[in-house]
Amino acid sequence: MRRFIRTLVGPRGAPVTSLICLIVFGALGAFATQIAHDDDLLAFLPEGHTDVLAFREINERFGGLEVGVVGYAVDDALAPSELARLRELTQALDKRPEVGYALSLTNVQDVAPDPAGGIQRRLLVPADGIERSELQTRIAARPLIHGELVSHDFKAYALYVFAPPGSDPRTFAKVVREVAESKVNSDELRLYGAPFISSYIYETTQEDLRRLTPWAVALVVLLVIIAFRDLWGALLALVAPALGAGGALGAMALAGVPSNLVLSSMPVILFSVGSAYGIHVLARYYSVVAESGNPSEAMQETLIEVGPTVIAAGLTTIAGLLSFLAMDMAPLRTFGLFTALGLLFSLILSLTFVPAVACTLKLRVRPRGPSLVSRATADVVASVMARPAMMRVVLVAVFVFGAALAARVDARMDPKSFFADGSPPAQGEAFFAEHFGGATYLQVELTADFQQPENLHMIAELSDRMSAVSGVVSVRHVAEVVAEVNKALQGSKRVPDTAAQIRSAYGFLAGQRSVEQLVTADRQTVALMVKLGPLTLDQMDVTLREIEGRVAEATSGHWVVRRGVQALGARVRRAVAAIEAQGIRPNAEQRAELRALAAKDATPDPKVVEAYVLKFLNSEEGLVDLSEHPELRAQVAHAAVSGDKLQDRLLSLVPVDGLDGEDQQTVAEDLALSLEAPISEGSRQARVRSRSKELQGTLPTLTNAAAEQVAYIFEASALLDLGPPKEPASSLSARVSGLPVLHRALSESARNNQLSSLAVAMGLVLFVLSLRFGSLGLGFLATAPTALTLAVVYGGMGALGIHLDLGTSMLASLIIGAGVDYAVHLVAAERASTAENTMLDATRKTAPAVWTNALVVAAGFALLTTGEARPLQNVAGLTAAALLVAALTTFVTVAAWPRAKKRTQPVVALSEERP
Amino acid sequence: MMSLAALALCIAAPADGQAHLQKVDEAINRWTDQFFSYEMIDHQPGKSPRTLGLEVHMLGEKRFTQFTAPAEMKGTRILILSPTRMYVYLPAYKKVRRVASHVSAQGLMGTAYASDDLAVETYSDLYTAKLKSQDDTNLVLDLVAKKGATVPYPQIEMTVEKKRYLPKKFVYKDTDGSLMKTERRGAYKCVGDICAPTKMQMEDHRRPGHKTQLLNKKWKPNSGLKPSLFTKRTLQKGL
Repeated sequence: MRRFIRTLVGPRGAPVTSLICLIVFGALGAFATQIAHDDDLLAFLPEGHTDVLAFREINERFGGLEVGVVGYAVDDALAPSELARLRELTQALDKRPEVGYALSLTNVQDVAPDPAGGIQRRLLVPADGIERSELQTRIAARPLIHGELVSHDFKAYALYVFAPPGSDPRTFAKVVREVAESKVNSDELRLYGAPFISSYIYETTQEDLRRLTPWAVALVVLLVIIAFRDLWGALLALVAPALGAGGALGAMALAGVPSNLVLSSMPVILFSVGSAYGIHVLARYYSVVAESGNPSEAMQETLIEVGPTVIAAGLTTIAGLLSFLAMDMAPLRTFGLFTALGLLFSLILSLTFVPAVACTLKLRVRPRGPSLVSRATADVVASVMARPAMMRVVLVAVFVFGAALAARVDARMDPKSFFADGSPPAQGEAFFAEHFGGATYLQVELTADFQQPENLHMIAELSDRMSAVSGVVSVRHVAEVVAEVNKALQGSKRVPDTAAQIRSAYGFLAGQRSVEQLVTADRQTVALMVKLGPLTLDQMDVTLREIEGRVAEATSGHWVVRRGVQALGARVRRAVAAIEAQGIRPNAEQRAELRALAAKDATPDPKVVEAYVLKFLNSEEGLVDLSEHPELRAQVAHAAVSGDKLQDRLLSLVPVDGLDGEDQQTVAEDLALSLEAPISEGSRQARVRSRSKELQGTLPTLTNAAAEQVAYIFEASALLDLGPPKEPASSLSARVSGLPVLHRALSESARNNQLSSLAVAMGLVLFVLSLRFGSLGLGFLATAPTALTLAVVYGGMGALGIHLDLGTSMLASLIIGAGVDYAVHLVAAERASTAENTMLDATRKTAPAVWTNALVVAAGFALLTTGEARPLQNVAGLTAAALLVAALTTFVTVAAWPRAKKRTQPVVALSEERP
Repeated sequence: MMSLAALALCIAAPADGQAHLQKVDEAINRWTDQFFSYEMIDHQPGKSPRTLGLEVHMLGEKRFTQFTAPAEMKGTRILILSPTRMYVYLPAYKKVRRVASHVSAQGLMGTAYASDDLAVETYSDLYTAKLKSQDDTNLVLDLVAKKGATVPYPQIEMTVEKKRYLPKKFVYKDTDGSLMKTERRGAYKCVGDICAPTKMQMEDHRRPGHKTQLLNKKWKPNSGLKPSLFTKRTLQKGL
């Protein structure tokens, strides 16, 4: 070893060593320019977690992650000028290739009954204008639009902008913002949704790091120079982490591993932590060279004395960072691995390049007396040593109290922790909460055959049940859309009766992007979009649990529509859910009446049916044109509700010589064929109207629309009962997803990552230190201050209500890695001391370096808290505080447990006070 | 002298273009009635191709269309008597419904083709054409919508086969010249002097990767289709 060290820093070897290090790490660093960057924030999602897999699959299927929401307030959303501006904005967005599709009030397609008879496919808001009252009526009748694309008070618009599959969210967000700002004043514009939020987080963090990292590094350099009082030595010590960082990034480029958001903080960590190794080497070297006078010999002695301790300190930090490998997020593993590699490079350079250059340049400094910080720390240590038993009790109490408070730290991924109040996402969130009730969505994915009416009824029931959950603003689902189409085709807004009719209704919806968010092309999977209002984390938990409970009920099988008593119960239960979704809670008596009403068949009023048939005959849709025969029309309508043998009755009504060139028989046949569907539809409507009236007698608070809806439920379930038994639930599966579920998964992951990385880091550190000091006891002693620091920091988090999240889950490893160094140096110095009071001697020798390093690291990280990025603020602020706590606890803890001196080898403190 | 020649060419060009366009109209409208059986294959990024089958009978401006695939559309029939009179028969509802469509520029059944794309039969009455370029086999015409004309595309760059005046490619553009769609018509099949493309494709540039192929599986021009086919009775009862 001595020979190797002599070769390394000998008079002839030192320049060669310096040159080799520069060439090797310079060349490796040159590759750093080729490093790729991974902007994907979704890469931070924990791998293999069921909820995350579901989130990815559901969003891939329905495109939820690719939607940006653009909103702005207006004085009057129905004003033609505002609609024209909205249309221009929608079209401008639609034209951009970076945008897949823009959905706004101005391009919503609508299938509706035509006042002139028949149906019309139209734009809900026609470009050529429409009466304001008519427009308001149209919109108000569509819950999927009113409150979603335009606020209920018509004071704000929302545009849903879909990104093309696989597009870059940052490019997409940038383009949408640019286009939107070209039409709407940027002060009025509010942007929300995953692409905007992820872009904001990425860009602010990157911008903060880009802006603050040079300042943080400069601050570190300045503090090191001030503390070290040696410009060239300080700069030399800082070259090691600089080359180390370049080498690590170069290695990443060579390995084809892209950089990520967290890795952007690597330079600050390496400069803060990695500079300590060279400083420790140089500090001891200056002391030795002041006595021996020969730089080469002084450096050789220095490396033999402090080398093992510097290596141990470096390895503990590396171990702390390698504990990131136990995490389930690839970017954090990459961060841990390559920051550890950068530190390893810094460590190697601190023990090769730094000594070699110092020898080559023959660096030396003027000896100085004990510093103020040495004296102050020694006073504290002396005070502790004067009453060790009491201090132990105090320290144990602090640890226990801190641990108890730390137990209160819950892993909660609060979306608000990602952006500050007043930031664009926060403004967007507030805007959509104020005007649209909220902008947070849960997606309930159901898999079954959604061409079957019973399954669409099940969706409607689930929707009603979820609507009654506190915190739920609205539920969008495909059964509602199909019912809208059915209204146009059959005259009533309800789920069609047969699978064939449902397939036809789907045919009308083909290609509509807004519908593709709700049902897959094969109609086997649907997503119910549950909009949540602004909720606290606790409220969100409760709402999420309740919704999951409702979904579990839906899949448990007891919602299956069956014959007999079960069907009756199901009918009443379904009706109650629909009524409760309107905010009305029927009492026991009313429920009994509902049950009685559900049990009996409704009697259609023939006059209602006749009026319906007459309306049909007045339209252009009949096969026979009776426009010139009003009397015959009325007779035919009356005959339609007068019993069996319709065609015979019609034959008796049609003139003997037929009509419009067609013979009597043909005309009668055509009329009978035409009237088949209208009679059936008219009868249904009449039954519904009859039931609806009775319902309003039972529940006077029911609106007409709600009463009709319940009446349709009774009718539909009665019809379904008549068919063969259905078994939708046997093939039904359900998953609840969305950002709240994802945040829960991230919280679980943060907790698990914290525990696993903590266990790995502490285990590795204990192993390294026990090995270094040749004693498990000393290993524990050197580890104890870090454990106490963790208890204090996490206890503080518990007391202040700071949650464990993605950023703060990295804390433990960083604290262990950086903080344990102090104990390593103090214990090593104490063991090496030959003074009468070894502890005080070791304290005086190590205090300047320990406090300098703690201040340097704390200052570097503290500067990062001045940025806009919230995740960076949390982790940087807590790390800065933790390092100062770690320095203090190191001296106090080690002093509280004085040991009988056992010298195994002549070890010298590596961080003696400055000469 | 050269400048004068260029000026003369410029002045002459629009008239030439319009004459060429009229010849195109004449070449593609030589039929009295037609029957097509189409397979329509829609491709969208990230999705499996979707196939629609349809049979179209045409007599003048009247059209009778019957869907043969997919299952959810099978049996659905559409009767167009004029641009403003359209009826649909949905077998599941057993009812003829009149449909007033105000969204004809939107994709037909979610495909890259819009209803308007299939409805335009003549161009010279809607567009002013200018000869952009030509070589031995093709002409390229720049079409700009006439003032007041209701058209789905304000500008079209039309490539025409010089010999038969059959259009091969349409580049549809917005008012500002931005690309909207590109349509290709090829593999023309002719019966006498009546020709029809057997392969067509529409690509929607506003939906990157979205394109629809229209394959003409069967074609019969001038087979004597009867007016009684184009009635609500046939629509309800079927062919």
